[in-house]
Amino acid sequence: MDDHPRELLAFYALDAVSESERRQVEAYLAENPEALAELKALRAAAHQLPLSIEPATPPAAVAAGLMARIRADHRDTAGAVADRPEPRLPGRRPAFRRSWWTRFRQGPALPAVAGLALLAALLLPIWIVSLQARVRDLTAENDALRQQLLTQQETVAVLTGFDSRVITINGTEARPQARGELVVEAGAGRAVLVVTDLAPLPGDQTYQLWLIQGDSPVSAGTFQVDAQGRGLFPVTGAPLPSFDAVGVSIEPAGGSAAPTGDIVLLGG
Amino acid sequence: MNEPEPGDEQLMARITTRDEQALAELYRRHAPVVMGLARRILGDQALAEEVTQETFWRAWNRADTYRPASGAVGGWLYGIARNLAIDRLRRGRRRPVAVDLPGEDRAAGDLVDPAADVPEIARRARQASLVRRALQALPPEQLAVIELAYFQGLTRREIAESESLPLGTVHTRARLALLKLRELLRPEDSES
Repeated sequence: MDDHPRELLAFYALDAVSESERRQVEAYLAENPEALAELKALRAAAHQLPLSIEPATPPAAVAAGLMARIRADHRDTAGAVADRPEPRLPGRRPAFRRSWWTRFRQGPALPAVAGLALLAALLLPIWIVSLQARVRDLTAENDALRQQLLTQQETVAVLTGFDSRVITINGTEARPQARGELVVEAGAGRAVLVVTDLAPLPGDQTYQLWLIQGDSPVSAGTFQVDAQGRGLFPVTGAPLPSFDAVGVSIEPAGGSAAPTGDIVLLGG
Repeated sequence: MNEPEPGDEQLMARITTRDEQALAELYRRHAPVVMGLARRILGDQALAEEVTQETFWRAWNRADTYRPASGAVGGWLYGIARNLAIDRLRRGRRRPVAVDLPGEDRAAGDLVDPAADVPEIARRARQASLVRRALQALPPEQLAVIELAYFQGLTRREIAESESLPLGTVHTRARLALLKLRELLRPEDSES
């Protein structure tokens, strides 16, 4: 019979079976231990297959990104971040963002990192390298600096999250050239907003991000863009409320309780 | 003679206690094979880098799920890497060009690790060459099934359909291929 579990042993050894096939084979093996000897031989061969390939040293950024994620994760579990109250202080403009953009402008040409959110991919590689440098330089117990570094690490973690979901948001008639992506981390509910081609606003106005469920928008904070119209905004206050659409509107400085101004980006 | 280095299993035990140095050492030992495997499957450097990072991220978070009885740490890691790579491949982000084994998988721009352990690299290169020769010694129809199942992530039914074969034949060829490979590589088993 084509589908008798014994027939599937080779594919099982290759780890090339579906979940239900796997369970069938394992049930079969439990009842028929004499088949284990054959499985062992098949597996020994299958395990050689990855070794048939010339190893390839990954670039340093891979390890750097990995360690950045681990450290961001460490601080989370230490409770340093998780217990922060929702700090959506209207009009807050953390200093690190300005200096981070400075580094970005001075950086070398950025390689595309396929598979990441397109916009985030443009911004990420320089950030990872500079993040590593800052971790090394961090000596004093400077709370503000640690907070900034922490937020950068969180952002890296979300942007590099393999299972992170990317929601594309497009410019509306009010700003047709604007583009954005909301990168949402699987599970933990953290998110990062990346926008381009969104013009800087005068001082009495701000952009505000909304997470919309049905007809109800919930504010996810206000943010600014740089002179080139780019913005990278970690959405704080995890976990995120559930939503089926995302919008950005122009609001008076300090933000509003509900969208009042033009909606410039919308998606979902 | 230096102090004996910790074995992979010791590293895994340390990783369960959130020992970053242990993960860094595991990465140093196995990332090149993981990277090579991911690149072989995906045919794309950037995607392979992502898979490599994600593999070790999962190793960090799921170290407690590793069971020595199931096999070597390396095999566990390569299994994670392969599953991630095949998932990505099947989601249609990339279609690789079919590679005829033995392939020259080293890209022109590959990095040379200045901290590299030259005897280790030489050993790995010899191993790779041995396994590739053994694969080449397989009858081509058996090798094809291995290539499709392992490196391209096709299911047995997809293979049967694409090769116009009965399902039973696909199973038999896979089995014969692995048994033959085992026989050819038997003296090298100390690697596993």
